[in-house]
Amino acid sequence: MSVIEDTRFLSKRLLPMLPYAALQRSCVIALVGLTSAIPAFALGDDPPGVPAKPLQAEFVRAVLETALKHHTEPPTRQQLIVDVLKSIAAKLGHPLPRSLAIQVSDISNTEELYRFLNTQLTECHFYESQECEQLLTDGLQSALTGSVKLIPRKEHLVNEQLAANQYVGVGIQVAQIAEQMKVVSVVEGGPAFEAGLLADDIIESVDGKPTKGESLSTSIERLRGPVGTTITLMARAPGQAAREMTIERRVVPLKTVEIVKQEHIRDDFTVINILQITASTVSDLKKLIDEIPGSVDTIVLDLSRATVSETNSGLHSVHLFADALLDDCELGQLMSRTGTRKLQSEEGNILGGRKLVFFYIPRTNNYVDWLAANLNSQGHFVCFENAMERAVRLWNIGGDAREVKSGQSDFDTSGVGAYETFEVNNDYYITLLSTWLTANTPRRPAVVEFDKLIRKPRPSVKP
Amino acid sequence: MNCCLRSYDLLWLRCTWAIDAVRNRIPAEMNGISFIALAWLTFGLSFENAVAQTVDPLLNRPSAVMIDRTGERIIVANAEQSKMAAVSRRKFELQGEPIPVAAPVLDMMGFGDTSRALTVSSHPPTLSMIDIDQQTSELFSVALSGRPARLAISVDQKFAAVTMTWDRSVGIVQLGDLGLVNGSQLSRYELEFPPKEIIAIDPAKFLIADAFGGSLAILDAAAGKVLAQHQIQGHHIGGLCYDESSKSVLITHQKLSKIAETSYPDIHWGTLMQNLVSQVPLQSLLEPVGKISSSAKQYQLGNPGKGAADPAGIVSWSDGQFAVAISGGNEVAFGKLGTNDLKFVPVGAKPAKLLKLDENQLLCINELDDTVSVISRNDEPQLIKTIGEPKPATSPAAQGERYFYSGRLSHDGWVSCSSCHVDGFTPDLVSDTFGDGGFGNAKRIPSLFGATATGPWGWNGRKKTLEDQIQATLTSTMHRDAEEQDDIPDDEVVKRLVRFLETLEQPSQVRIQAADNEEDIRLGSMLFHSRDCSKCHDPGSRFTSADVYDVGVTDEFGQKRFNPPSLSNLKVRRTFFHDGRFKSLDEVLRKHPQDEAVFSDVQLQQLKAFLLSL
Repeated sequence: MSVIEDTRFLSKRLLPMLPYAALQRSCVIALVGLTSAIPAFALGDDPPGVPAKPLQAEFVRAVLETALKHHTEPPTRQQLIVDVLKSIAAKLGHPLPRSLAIQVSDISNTEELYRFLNTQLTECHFYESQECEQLLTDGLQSALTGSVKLIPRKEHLVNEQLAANQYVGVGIQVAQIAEQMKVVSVVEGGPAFEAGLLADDIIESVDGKPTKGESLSTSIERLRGPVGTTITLMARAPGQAAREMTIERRVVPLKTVEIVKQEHIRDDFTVINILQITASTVSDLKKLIDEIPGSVDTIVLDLSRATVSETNSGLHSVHLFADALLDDCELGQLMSRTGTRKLQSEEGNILGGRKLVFFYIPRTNNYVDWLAANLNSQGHFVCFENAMERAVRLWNIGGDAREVKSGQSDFDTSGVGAYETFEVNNDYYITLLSTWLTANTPRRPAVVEFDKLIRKPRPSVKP
Repeated sequence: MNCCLRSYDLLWLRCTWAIDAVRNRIPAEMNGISFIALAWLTFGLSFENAVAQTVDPLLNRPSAVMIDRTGERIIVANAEQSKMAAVSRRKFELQGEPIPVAAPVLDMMGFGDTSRALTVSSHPPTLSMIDIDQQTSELFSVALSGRPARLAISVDQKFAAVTMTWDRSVGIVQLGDLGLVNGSQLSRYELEFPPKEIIAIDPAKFLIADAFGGSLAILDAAAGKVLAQHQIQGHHIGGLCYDESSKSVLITHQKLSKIAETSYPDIHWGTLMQNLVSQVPLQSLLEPVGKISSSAKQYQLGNPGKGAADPAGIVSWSDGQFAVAISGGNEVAFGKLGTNDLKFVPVGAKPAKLLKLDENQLLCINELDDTVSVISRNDEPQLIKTIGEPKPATSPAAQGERYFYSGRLSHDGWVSCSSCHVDGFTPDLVSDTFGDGGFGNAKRIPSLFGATATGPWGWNGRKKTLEDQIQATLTSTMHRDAEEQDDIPDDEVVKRLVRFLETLEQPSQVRIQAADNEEDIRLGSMLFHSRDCSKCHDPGSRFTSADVYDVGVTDEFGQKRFNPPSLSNLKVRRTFFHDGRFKSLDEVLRKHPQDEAVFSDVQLQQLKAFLLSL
């Protein structure tokens, strides 16, 4: 399985992570309320794979107190302790006193409660267990609604860096293949890119420590570090001798959008590649659009390469992206436990009064499909699949596209690639709808009423 | 001995600076400061003494500034003491003698040749005229129908207009050649929204802005009617100014996304809350119908990495430059129409209003630390001088107030408490926070007036202490940065915020005339009690109670039991229920699912009259 150094959390929804400075191990406990169900796991500050150190009583206390303080539906302290204790004892096969609940409810003093918990945990041999973090997490899981995970502070920092697109590192994605650490891709312009590291290179050692046989996450931990520090890699291209390179860790922003600079693109067009739709895409796109001269009256968004993770956060980013491009219209419906509710785009968009054309290849991603359906339903022109080739050719011709018919009669005089394919669209959307409905329901279920969208009259583009 | 040495060192530093100032030909104002330093040296004052002497009671919550007739003095009004301060225009130094006034002044504007000024005060609500030249207090005054917020004088100097937020009205008084005269009458215009900011446009028209939401109205004082009402895309309008060169109005405001959630990425990327300047052509505002948004242009006041919470006062120059007081960031932002470049100048605590002194300089009133900043613009705007010694907040409540208005409580300074709970009240918007079980079920932003007494907190009533509620807000809504927490821990901030919230009492709705529907109110009150409304909205507990009830509505997560909101200030509220589903009190009374018995139209009228009187 390929794990990505730089981007593996980029698409993950960042739930409120509650730093608790006083924890003996620097950990962050993330409590998730009613809505989401993410798998619970626990990590110490040590790289995974290294046996966890036994937990201390203060740590257990700090975690439980954090849960009580921050959970949206906290139980009482006594209840929490009983539930956690029961869960841990059951897993360790240790019998608990029958009158546990009564005993605990008789203690009102917090200090005494934790002393009692500690005594019981010691009797269970909890502190000697190699899996005590997991046991504790499971215990919390049994006591709280939603789910719980413990993540190391370092991981928390990385999450924040990724959310803010301020990831600090060398800018590579790596995978562990046949016991070797292989570079999957290199972020263009990043430190590793500048040092000459290429995709498919094998990293033999990081700071003198061989990577062979090591777990991928351990190697990734070694690659990570504070901004300005350096690492020394021994890397080799397949079939070549290894060479040593020293690389400085820097902020490696990941590009989400880029302007396509092509000589023959007409002055009144700007083509923007949407590379990924994440939390920062709207902000990045806004910045690009702000720089586009006023003479440009059409923005072409190339969505054909857009990646978006099919997770809660991916869906949320696509909602925000659609809202930024569309002006005061219905964006389909969201399904919730109590029925559906309309998702409404707010007034105003970031296009600055310009026309929008977009490229798109259907069925690459459910969320991009949803986005395209919405853009199209609001009268924005779409070029897709077989039409795309034709449109690309149009821009490569250069000069005055108004005169270019490219053997077809379906270009209107404004030169915008608009096609007489709306009937095809309809068929397509019906296919899409059934694909959508049969696809796995995402965690934050969204059912888009394509039917409704299709029936909306579209503006005629024929002269 | 040590002390002397230290003073000497400081003086020496000051001297070096003075010499540098002369050498570098720093503007006259700066030299003014260096003269002070030289004076210390001459008279041998110790630094400590100098500080002790400059602690100034002349400024106490400054509320407005104006330049007097001579152009030599800047007059600063105070909202918390019955005297105004005079500042020399050249050296920006406070002058010793305060100008006595009858009551603390909430807003002030020079009239005519500015030898006179109009002021508004709140106890009792009055519009007064004072003679600045003679330093005498009130010449004439007119009683207002509610607590005044802001004041404006029409371009033709024939009308004064006063916004009264909690009375949801604007008072207009006709002015004579000498301003207010004996027997001047107040005409009250009720608006559809609670007003605050106001500016004069055209000869006798006023542009009036919503105190909490995003409504705007044009009032024609000569014709005596509201000409147009509009809605901007946003809320929390902090400042208005008319930009002559572009024939448009610049409006500072915020915009809370309905789709974004209070997650770290959505705050970081400025998706949740945008801090904006909207440039709206005056012509489109004067049109009685039509969307102003289609002709409006927006300028962002923050970027990822640096938010600009709560933009307030704004001024502009003919070359397209504008300056905005960023009250949540203790800065003044300089931008240029048509560009996205921004420059920031640090000022005092909660900068609120700006006044152009001339083509090059402006004043900024810092409400919370009792100072006025003098700033020069040009390519590199900079702080020239701070008038008054910045006062530290001493009481926990005052410290809490600073936190309440500070963007530093949020990640990268994007929002303050006041961005959503505008001045402690509510813009009646919904926000998708994590406080009610997760994202995807946005809830109405509650008012915080009297909130300390209306526990439990949160729509689902799960927070048993206000401290817990505020802590959750800091952590999961505002995402207070770790470095800030290292500075002052959350616990301390929470404690002080609670002390401040305790001071937020229900705003008084001072009315001169007795309500003309007293009988309706009485009958409505009887209905309220006889139909058991008081069971959940207990009059003894500010018309709420400490439990959660199922009133037949559910949120997106299937949650049914909610803590009833207080019924105070319904008059200025625009949406109702946890998700703001009802848009008027009529709708609530007709559709409140708990009502088993149907009310007759007459009963509805009575009940409504009672509720509006709370």
